Amino acid sequence: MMQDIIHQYLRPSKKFPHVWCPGCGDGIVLSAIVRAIHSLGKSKNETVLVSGIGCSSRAPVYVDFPALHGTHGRALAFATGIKMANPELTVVVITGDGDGLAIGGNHFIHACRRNIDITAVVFNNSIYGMTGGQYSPTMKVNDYGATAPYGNIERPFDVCDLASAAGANFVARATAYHAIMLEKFIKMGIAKKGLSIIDVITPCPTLYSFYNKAGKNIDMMESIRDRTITIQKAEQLSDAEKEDKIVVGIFANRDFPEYTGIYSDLMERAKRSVKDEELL
Amino acid sequence: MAKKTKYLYIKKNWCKQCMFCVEFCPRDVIEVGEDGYPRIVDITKCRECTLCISLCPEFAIITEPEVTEQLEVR
Amino acid sequence: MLFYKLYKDEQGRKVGFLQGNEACLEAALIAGLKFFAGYPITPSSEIAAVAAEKLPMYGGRFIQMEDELSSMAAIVGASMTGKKTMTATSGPGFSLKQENLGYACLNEVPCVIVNVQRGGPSTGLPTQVSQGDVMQAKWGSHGDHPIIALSPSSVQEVVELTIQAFNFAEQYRNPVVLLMDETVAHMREKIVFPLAEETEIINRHHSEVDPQKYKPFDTSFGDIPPFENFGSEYRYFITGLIHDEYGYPTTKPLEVKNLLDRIHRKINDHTQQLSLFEQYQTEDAETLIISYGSPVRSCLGAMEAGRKKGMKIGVLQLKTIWPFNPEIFTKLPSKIKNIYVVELNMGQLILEIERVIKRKVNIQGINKYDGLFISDQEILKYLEQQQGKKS
Repeated sequence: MMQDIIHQYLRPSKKFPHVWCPGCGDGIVLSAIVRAIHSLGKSKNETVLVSGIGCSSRAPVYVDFPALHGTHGRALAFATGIKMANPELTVVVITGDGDGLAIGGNHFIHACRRNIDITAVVFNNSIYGMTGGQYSPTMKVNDYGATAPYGNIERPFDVCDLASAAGANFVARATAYHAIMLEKFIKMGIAKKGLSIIDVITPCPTLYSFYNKAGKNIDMMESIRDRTITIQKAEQLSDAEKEDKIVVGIFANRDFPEYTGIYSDLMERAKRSVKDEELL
Repeated sequence: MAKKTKYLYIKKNWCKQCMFCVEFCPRDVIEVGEDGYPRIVDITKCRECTLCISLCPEFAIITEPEVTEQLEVR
Repeated sequence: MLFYKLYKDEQGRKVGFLQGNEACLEAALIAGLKFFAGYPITPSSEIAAVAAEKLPMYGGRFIQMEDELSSMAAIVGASMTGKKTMTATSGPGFSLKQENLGYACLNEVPCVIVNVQRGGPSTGLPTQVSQGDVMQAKWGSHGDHPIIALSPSSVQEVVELTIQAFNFAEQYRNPVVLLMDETVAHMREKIVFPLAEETEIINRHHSEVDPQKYKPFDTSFGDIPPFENFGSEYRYFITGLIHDEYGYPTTKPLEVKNLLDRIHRKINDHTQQLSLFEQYQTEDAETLIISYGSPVRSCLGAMEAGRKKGMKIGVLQLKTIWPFNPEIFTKLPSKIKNIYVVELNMGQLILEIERVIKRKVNIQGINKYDGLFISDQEILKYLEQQQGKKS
């Protein structure tokens, strides 16, 4: 069945179960990514997964694609090099909220600005899981974390607003609970020429839950389900009413020129500008 | 094409007992077994909505007997 | 815009009056450069500017990244697809590149990093010469990691060593640092580029194993595992974590030790092949000047002037800085009584030289770190003063 296609994509030499905690959404998001790649008919050889550091970034080790588990925050930078050097490849970046928006924030906005044909899936649990539950740049004000014992005093990024403003062609948000919607958005993102950002709200039932008394696996998942509203619904609500909501849907879907394509045109112009004998 | 027999298998050595499949199955096909792992109560009630598979973070739900066989060695 | 022109001589070789930076990129094209990522920084800027103009003519690609960290990451990513890649920077940028330089060392990703050294620390002296990053080139990234570093003393040597840097990177599956300095980078000289048939170009070593059986860090091929490209039928995983032969993270003590031993062994066991150096009039020398990079020019000047005055001076030029080759120093002629190490820093490579020379000999540093280049007269004057003290 299509839905459990991931079994055909697991690395034959890798041991399971995976590293994530019980009730973590990362496995759900990974299988949605694999279903999206599969349904687009992309070949395993020519689809490269690139990740940074953190819980989410462990994902590429489990699935049988060429994959680069990079350094903290640099996934989009490694991915830019891969895509530029071989534009034929489909490049999917797996990053987290800390990895992609704090230490990798600069690469995030510049990848959006360049609008290079990469799809980045942000596993957004608003906390640094691997290092022990510190507050991340997407944590809500007054939530708690290991480094926010009095409640978080920093305003969070809205990943989708940031990506849209920075110029990405496709920007959408889904949640780990809405896995079918998520798969659809990832599929649209990969199919889209240009940079695609898919923000995925995913539960951390270990550390976020511990610091915020958010209950067990199912409590967290139900909370995500119950707080989710569509963009259309959100438009009818006041800011105060939207405070605690997760707004899902497509925030940007447009066709700015894509970077590697523009560069290929530039190469043609550069080649025409020189005579053959001038080349070494 | 003849409709295939419904099949659902939970690979216990991969399952971490998050119970998403039990909780979110709209037709109560899956329940918590005596050993604390999910088990299939009544496959005939299943409408193949695949929500349990999509929501299984462990890739531990399998829908084809052949895949079960393949993966059982791991 | 290019600020130089290339002509053909009678043999068909390209000649021109080029800066070190310009020559570096031209040589990289000969070596097969196909991807350059960089970030603007003085005094290496011309390398990126020439790359931006010339690479697309040759079917290569250039990108100006948002920072130094990402330009290093981008060349590592690009190298994974099988392309020859390079970045260029100077001290402050080299500090930032250390993160992903370490990544490239651990994952044995070939690439070339040019560091045009300027005065430091911090922002330092952006337009002035220094050789202050010699130790950083070896120890800059955290953890024990193997590195190859070459240092040219003239624009012609920039051509020679840039090609060599790509060859070493591909042959040994390791990043190579080209340690230039501001003087050699901005100096213009007449340059003759070698013909294709005069140039040895080394390309990546591929395996012919069944893709199902391929391991990116397979030790059964010796210490340098064959490299397969992303996008080919070989699918594998690489990580900045310590990994096993499959590339999967491991913390097993034996696997950890074996990996670290091997990546160091693959460089250290080839120290003799990697070690490039020149000796000038060392046969009868009583005084030896050791140097590298642009100060070598002044050392040779001091040698000639000193010899005219009857001083038996020889010069040893190191083109390969890392791996450091102790054998050069243990085999030095026994007549040598005084060794002077000329460096445009407060004394970095002299520490290695003192470490390896076991016999009793006077070793002193001649160091200049005021942003100015060292002249032959300064060196000679120092030598004469020292001789005066002894006699």
